[in-house]
Amino acid sequence: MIRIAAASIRSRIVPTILVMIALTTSMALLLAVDRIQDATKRGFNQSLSGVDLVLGPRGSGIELILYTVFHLGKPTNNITTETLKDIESNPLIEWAIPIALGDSHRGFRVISTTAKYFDHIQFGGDQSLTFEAGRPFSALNDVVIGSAVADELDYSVGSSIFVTHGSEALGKVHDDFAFKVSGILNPTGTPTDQAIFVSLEGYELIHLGWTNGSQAVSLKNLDVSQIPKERLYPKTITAAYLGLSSKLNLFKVSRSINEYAEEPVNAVIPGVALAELWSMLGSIDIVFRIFNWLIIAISLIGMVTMTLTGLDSRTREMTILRALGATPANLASMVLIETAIVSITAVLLAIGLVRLLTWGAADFLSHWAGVRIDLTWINFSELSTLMTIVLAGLCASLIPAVMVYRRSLARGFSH
Amino acid sequence: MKYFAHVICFLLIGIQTTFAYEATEEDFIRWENAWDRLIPQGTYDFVPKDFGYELLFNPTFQSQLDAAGKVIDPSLEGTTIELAGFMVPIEVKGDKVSQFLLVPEAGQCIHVPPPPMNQTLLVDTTSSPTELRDLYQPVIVSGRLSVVTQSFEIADSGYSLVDVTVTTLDLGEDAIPIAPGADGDR
Amino acid sequence: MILKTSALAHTFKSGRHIQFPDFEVNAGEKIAVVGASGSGKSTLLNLITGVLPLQTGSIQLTEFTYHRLGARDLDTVRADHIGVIFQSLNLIPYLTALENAQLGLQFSTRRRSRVSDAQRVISELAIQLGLSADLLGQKPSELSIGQQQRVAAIRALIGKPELIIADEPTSALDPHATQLFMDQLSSSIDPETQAVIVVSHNPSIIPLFDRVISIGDDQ
Repeated sequence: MIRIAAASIRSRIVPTILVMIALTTSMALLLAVDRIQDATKRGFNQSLSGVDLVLGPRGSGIELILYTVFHLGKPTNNITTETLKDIESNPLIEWAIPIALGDSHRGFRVISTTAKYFDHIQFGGDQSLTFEAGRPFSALNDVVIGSAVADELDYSVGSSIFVTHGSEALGKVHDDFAFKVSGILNPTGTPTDQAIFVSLEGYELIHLGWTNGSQAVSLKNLDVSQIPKERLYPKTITAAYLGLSSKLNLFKVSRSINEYAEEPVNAVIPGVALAELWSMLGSIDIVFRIFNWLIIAISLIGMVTMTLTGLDSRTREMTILRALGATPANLASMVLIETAIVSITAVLLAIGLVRLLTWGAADFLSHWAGVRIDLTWINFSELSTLMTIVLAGLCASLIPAVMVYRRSLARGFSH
Repeated sequence: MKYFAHVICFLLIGIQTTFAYEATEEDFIRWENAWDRLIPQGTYDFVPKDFGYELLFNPTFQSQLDAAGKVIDPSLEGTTIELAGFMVPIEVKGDKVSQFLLVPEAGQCIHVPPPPMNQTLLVDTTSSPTELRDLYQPVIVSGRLSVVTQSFEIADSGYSLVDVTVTTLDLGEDAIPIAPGADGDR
Repeated sequence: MILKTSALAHTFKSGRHIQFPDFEVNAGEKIAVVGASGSGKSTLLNLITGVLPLQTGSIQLTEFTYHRLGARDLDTVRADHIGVIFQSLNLIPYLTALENAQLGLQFSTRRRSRVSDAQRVISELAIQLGLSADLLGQKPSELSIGQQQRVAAIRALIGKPELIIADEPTSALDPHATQLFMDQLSSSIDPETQAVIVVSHNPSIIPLFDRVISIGDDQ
């Protein structure tokens, strides 16, 4: 019977393939988007831990987190180190790590910060940053790079790099001062892998003489070792990560920062900002999902329609089979078997397509946001979703099946 | 036949909007020189050959630098020039830009002052508005220079460009400009 | 005894009423059923094959009495004991001639159990019917009418169902081909166990048959 059903499908292969494409892609879309969203959220949520508050210029908290932690978007304002010093004096704050952004190297972001960064900043819940090779920066020209930077650009400890002014790969290069890789971090599956860390002083140094916005002097002939370190401490930074002595003081500290009168600054709780982000995206997501299910429903209707319209041309077939002793139930089940073959094939293709889509997305996401997603073939809940759709398809094709049943009851000889 | 023509047209339009120029090493050098040409010869002559670091913190020196940033070369009036930089849109209609500022680096205006007057161009594309690109998408702009002084929120401009062609720049994987000795030298 | 009818009649929804003559068909017999167009030949065939429910009278096929059987059982009886050749469009277009022929066994365990090597039996029947064996791999669209009818005949004969019913099988064939087909069909049946009923409105084939049953128009 299955052989006959398969041959029957093959004789109507073109409309069948079209219907299958619709079904497969709509199912794959549903699953892929679900997976990617889920993984992205998880990836983002675990990119930074151990930081209680992020101090930044007053503005959108989500934006602040996005550009400091994920290097997405750009800062449009600074905060002064004097303000940071003031705020840091609060005994409830255990540590503060300033960061300054703006430059890049071959497309990778350069983050200037203090060496304490590597002690305090964690990811994935409670994992610390560890070094695959080398050590944190100590000399003025030391630079630490993430694992992806080392892999893609084929750098090792001792490699020299020049930093580009601006955040893109096109721009004036600070070619008058060479940095040297002092350490390479182990992979983390977070944006850290794609970051390049320099000391605050080194960063400030290469921007001396840029006071009018372009390179006016070259540092090549300057003996930089002469410059006292305090002179190179920046006056402004982009943001600062804060760690509190006790998380119970979270709101107290953030309140006092938000009310700081000397400069418009904000304290953002990273988890809160991300949650707000997901909630914002969530409402868009619901609409998208509804559309997706609609498309699946339409594809199923398409499949049933195809069967229904084919019935008329199959009346002869039914007569022949009836004469051979097929019961009406036999004929109805032929229709159901055909539907089952189409649906199940679509499901299998969808699983393959989902795998392909998430693989492509994983690549993109890891480059764009430094976030890693896991790739699996299929999990239980996905499988049950797909089976539900197949079941719905079978139920829908009961309509043509019943029609076949009734029509074939009195199919016989006629002149 | 008609369908065929429609498909071809559609593809051509699609290709046009996604066409990006792939740069070569020579291009980058040429463009860097072009930006330098905007600064009149001798503007930075006041910077001594040998200097101690103290000079860099000297407020007089810093105001001299500020002044140097404003110096325009009027003799460039009417010359054609081609530069690579980033688009800061000023006038946008829908998804087309009719006026923008061209700056040499992306992500400006935050950690150092905005680019000086002689490193910014006001580009006029009113006659043929160009596609609004991502702020961090490098573009190649060529046109005829004109000297003008205006004031915008972000930066003062001194040069303007007319009769403009704008092309998206594809930096490519390998041809990202790096100074000699900058890449992995041990 | 293969088929026996008694007091068969049928009333249509339109009010039209047909009365059929009683007849009996035994093994080895070749019966012709003739009648004018619209005289009720199809109705008779539908009653004999069990597709049309019996209203009045009785039909007995070997040991089965129709009015005692439910629809499901009738389907089984049809599958097991009757082989049908239609006037035209006998074959399923997306199956090969061989696959079409094998359909004769598809719904009948009884016939299947009698055939251990379907391919061999089909080849033998093909030879008997004058059908070249290498045509069996073709699709119906690639065969001539005469060839298609022969494939249908194989399908009807395989597994040796007792009653072969052919509804105007040669109406599309010329007289010579008709004669040939009827001869081949007749010699393919097993005279001990099988019988053939051929419905036709073509009087020239009558001499080929043992008996003729005439269906008239009763109002």
